[in-house]
Amino acid sequence: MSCGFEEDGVAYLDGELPRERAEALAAHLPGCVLCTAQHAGLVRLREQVAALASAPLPLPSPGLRARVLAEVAGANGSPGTGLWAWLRGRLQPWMLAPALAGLAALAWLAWSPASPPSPSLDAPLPAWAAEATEEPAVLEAALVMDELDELRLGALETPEDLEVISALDELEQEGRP
Amino acid sequence: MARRTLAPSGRNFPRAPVLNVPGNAMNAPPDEDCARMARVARGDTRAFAELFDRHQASVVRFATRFVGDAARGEELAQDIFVSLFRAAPRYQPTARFKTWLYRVATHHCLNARRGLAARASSVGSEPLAHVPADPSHSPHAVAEGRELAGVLSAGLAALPERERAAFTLSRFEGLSYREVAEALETSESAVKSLVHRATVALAGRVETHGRAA
Ligand SMILES: [Zn+2]
Repeated sequence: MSCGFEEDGVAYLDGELPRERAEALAAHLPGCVLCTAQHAGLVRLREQVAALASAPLPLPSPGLRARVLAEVAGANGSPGTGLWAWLRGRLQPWMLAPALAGLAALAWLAWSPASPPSPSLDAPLPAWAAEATEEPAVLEAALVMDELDELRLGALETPEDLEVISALDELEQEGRP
Repeated sequence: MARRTLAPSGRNFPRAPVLNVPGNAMNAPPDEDCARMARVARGDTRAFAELFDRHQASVVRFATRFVGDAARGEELAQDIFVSLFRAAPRYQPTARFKTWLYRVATHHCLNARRGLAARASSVGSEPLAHVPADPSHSPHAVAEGRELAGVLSAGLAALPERERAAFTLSRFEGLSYREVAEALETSESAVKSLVHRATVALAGRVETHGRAA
């Protein structure tokens, strides 16, 4: 048989019932066997859950922050899929040096008065030079330099970054026949 | 346990200085985070990092409890924060920021659970069982506490999704019924029913377990 308060027990304990309703339930409780029995069980469960809620869960892994910010940086205007993203993921600062050295060498070759014939601004680059500038690492280096400049942030080589690289290397090894 | 090491579009990202936010971020005035969202909408990644630092613990905790698996919870938290970033231009500060954040989080968790169900995967029951051993308790009491945590965890996983969401937000995250209603996009009276049914179901499980033990 229904007393009309069956769905109110938890809200009552949570202080979420309107005052009049809460007062009515408080008056009803001692005389209702069903509500009294349910009330005891609910009080106990709330305590048990409160104890669980205050117990600490394991902390999020420190890599989460890096992954979220990386994905957001990818979503913030730069391409973020496929091989390109994979390359972006692997790029480390030390890789910038040879890439930038390559660019510098290219610039020197292109503009040096000693290299005949001197190309005009509109002249197409020789095939090998065009190929070199399309090298993803070179373009990537320029992009990353821009971003670093923009964000004014610190070093890329955190232990987590290195961990990611080594995990990728392992995956790569496993993937090989 | 498997840990996702790199996002699909992942790239190593430098660490910004960790923000020292005093107190609980959830108790901070809501306008602070709304203002941060306005900056995020303009593409300010530093404001986004601040929001992440303030709310990551809550989001990971909620997602972990919801799906019942720490690694999956963290993956979901990643998706939730990326969604938050993408949704920033459309963000209207009509609700408190945390309520809106939990709305995004719940949406993701519900979808993830549907995905899990479609793949016929079982939901883990590990995280709620992470009850640290209190040195002042006897080994028996510690074992009992862990057992109870396991029963509650399994009970939570067995609840209908919306009941689980309402219960988790209310009991574990401390949201009021009104805030839960906003997060679940439903009425307060519906939340009252959801939380009640979930609590009664869990109490029944604990009681049955107690009798069997
Ligand atoms: Zn009654």
